Amino acid sequence: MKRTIPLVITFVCGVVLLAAHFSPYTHRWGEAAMIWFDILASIAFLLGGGNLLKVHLKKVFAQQAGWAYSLITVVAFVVTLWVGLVKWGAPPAAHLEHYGESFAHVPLEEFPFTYSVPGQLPKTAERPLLPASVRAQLSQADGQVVFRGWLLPNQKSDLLAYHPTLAWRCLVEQLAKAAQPSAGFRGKLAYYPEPQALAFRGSMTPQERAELEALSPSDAWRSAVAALYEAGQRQTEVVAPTAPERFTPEQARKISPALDYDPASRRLQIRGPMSLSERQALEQQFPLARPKLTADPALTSAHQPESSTVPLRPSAHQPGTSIVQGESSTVQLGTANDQQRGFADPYRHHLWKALEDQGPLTAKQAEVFQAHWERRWTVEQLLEAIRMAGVGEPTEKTACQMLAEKEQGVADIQPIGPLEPDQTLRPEQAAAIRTWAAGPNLYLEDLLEQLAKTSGGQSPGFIQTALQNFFHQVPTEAEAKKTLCVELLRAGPLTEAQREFLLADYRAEWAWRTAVGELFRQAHQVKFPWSGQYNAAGSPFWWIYEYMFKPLTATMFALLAFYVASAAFRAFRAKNVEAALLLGTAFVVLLGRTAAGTVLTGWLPDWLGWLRVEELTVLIMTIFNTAGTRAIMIGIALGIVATSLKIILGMDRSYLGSAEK
Amino acid sequence: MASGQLLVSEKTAGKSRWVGPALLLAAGVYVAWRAAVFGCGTVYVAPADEGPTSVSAWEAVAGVAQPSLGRTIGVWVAALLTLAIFSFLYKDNPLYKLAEAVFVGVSAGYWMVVAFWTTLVPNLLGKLFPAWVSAGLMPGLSPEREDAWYWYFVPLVLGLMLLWRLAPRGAWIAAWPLAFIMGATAGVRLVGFLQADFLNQIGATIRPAVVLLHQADGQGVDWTASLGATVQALLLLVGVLCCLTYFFFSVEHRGLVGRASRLGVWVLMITFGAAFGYTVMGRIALLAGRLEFLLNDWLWLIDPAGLRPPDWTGWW
Repeated sequence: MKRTIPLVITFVCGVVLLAAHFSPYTHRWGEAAMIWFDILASIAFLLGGGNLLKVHLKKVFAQQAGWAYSLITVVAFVVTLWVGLVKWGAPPAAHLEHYGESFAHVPLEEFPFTYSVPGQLPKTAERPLLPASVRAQLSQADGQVVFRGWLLPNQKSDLLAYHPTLAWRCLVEQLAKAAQPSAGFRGKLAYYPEPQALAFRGSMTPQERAELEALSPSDAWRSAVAALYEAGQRQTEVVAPTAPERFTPEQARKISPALDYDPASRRLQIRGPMSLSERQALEQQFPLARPKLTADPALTSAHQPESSTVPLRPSAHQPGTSIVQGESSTVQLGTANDQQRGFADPYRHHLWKALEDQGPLTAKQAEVFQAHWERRWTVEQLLEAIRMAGVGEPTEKTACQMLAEKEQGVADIQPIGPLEPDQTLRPEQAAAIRTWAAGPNLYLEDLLEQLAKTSGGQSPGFIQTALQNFFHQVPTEAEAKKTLCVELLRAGPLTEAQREFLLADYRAEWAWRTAVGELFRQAHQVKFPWSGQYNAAGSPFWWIYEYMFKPLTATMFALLAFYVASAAFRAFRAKNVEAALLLGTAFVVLLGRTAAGTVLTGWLPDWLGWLRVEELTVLIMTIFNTAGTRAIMIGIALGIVATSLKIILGMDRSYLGSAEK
Repeated sequence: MASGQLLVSEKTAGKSRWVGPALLLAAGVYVAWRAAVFGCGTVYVAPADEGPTSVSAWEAVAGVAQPSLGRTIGVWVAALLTLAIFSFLYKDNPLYKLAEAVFVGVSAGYWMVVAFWTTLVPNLLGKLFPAWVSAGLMPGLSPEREDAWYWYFVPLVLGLMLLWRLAPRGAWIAAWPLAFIMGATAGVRLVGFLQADFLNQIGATIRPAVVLLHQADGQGVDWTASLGATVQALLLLVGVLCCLTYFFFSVEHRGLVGRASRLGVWVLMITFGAAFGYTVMGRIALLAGRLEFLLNDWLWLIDPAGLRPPDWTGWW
């Protein structure tokens, strides 16, 4: 019995996997067997760990020779296991945290709103169960498909993918339209079935609370609304060491009514949680990097109307002051030396002068400065991005539209509708962009304001989208100056004053962003504290991997380089043809991957090009190495097939640990 | 004379006994001096949502990053463990044994944790107790049970039986899961190897035996290139057949078979030579990686990627 059952298990398992390969009906059996195999392989790791503990603890308790090393092994093992299993120090997974929302528990069965549309759930043999994301919420009654809760975008996608018919997809679209919070709460209110949580975005007002409480007399609902209201009233504040120059309490309230700012104490407050978009808006309060302005007269005339002077800050900067926020002065432009360097741009000219005034700069640093400016964004790139965003895209038809077409007898139903008309930038809008780009401080909101004026209302959506996308990749001026500082330092030394001049704004920006980040984290209600990655950067498990496991593994294998070299030195003797071939091939392959090999045979004429060491390596690898490897692979495959058959048929029983074969 | 020679060699041995420790001491003093003066091995971090994040030393120059004690200690630990492993090149010693003991413990723990979080939680616990797993351990998993979820008790029971090997008695119980593992491995390997390493390899060897290549402009056949490609394909075919002849022991290797077999041995020798060359290169690349870590990340003696200000790097 002890031997028969394992033999039967092996036979059945092997035959099922073979059958799964040849028959589509048993394909799922094979998949299940492979998952079980993975599970058992993972449990084998547990067995390995247990065995390690058993062996080493035995050695420690018996105080055998080397027991101290065994103790070290046990300690290293237990510590690694502990910090990894409990996810010690791993932050929650960001994509599950629903930033900007507060959660309150409402059991699904007590959620008071159900929505129904006429129709039936599709019956499909391939997918007997509804998608897991909606299974608890979707049902059928009296010719109606009933949904409890508000349909989330991912649930809609799952339902659309569940069955391909137009009728079903149209039903899902109708359901998605119906199963939503009332108009005043769309985008603010959601229900997540998995944690069974009612979620509210931002801070709830007393009026909103009253409206929500009036929606249902259910106790669970009312207490959840009360909890969300309380969570939305929680005040969080930080004191920012620095603040953006143009940031005011009005600006804060424009971002969110829950935000407050006191310029005197630099106290930044928020009521309730902060969303990612609010955080981003708070962080983007600094002027953008200036573009590389060309010598286009239209551009320069926008900034230097009559004379060759432009208002700028004093050239001798005090540490900690900002070039774009300081006082103005007048700097002469257009000296022969400047024009030679291509300084058509006054700001660029001024930056260089300011750096020169505060210390010496080498010729190499001058080159680096030029190269830095060449990499900056240009107005032409921005205009092209806007032009591309204005190109009309095809509209996608809804399933209900296609169903209507089908009912009308349309034979060839296309899922794509007509193209949207192209939208173009008007000349006055392009001029506004050019003027803004040549101005002293580049704030995106200023540009949007100017564009709105030229558009006679709000600037068109495609321009706003294009601007947001384009400037998302453009650093702020302070970040650009910090990059310049690094590049200049790589090319040569900078004085303390020069460094301070280039870095002070970056430091101030960083301090503000750090304060905003701190406020964001403090205001956030953690939803799933244990959802983070077990190997998240910064966690103790990551530390062990990064500073112990990785270097130890790499060094152990690197050590073999010495032994391989030593063995080769002792064993390689070209005593016969076979040994000479082995030695010669190894030599050519090694040489062919080095620069020295290429140089050594680079002099060979073209007609003997195949003898160049790099070509010879390719030849060896593609013909002879492939031939030898294939023959070995074919031999191994035949061996494995034979062994597998013997195991499945019970002819090879050595794995059962017996002498009986 | 003989005693005089002995005396000299004893004197030399006495002196050489101090060479190693003296060199080690000098190296230690040098490293300590670099650490004190330059702060080599320091890792800088900046605050982020997911906790402090490692940043380049340039951020410290800009004044927005702070040294991280934990990560700096980590770099030093990694460097000392690397040196401890390399010390085996001299001879087996307590430092190497210590690093080896740490390596064994950490590796076992690491792979257990990986197996637990990547396989056991989603594929076993997540199937049996989905609501519990999705509520805490892995919120991304579906809380709904699959239709045939109870089948997952089979691998659970088999797994527990496998762990029975740790018990002093009843080791035969572990034979059942072992039999499953053997059966599954045999079933998968049989078909997999037959397809990928047998049929596909034969197909790939035979198919391009005669190659016709077209000219770049698509006008007609490029006969020169076609001839070269055909010769290569035929050489490959002959090479494979000769190697297989060598592996074929049912016929005596004499006459034509013997000559083919000898050619096969030559092809195999070239293959082994290429494999040896690549293995050596791989190991040397790893060695270069470790040396770069020691000289760049730890001692700041080199800085190929320009991660630090130039005046932070150098031999003095």
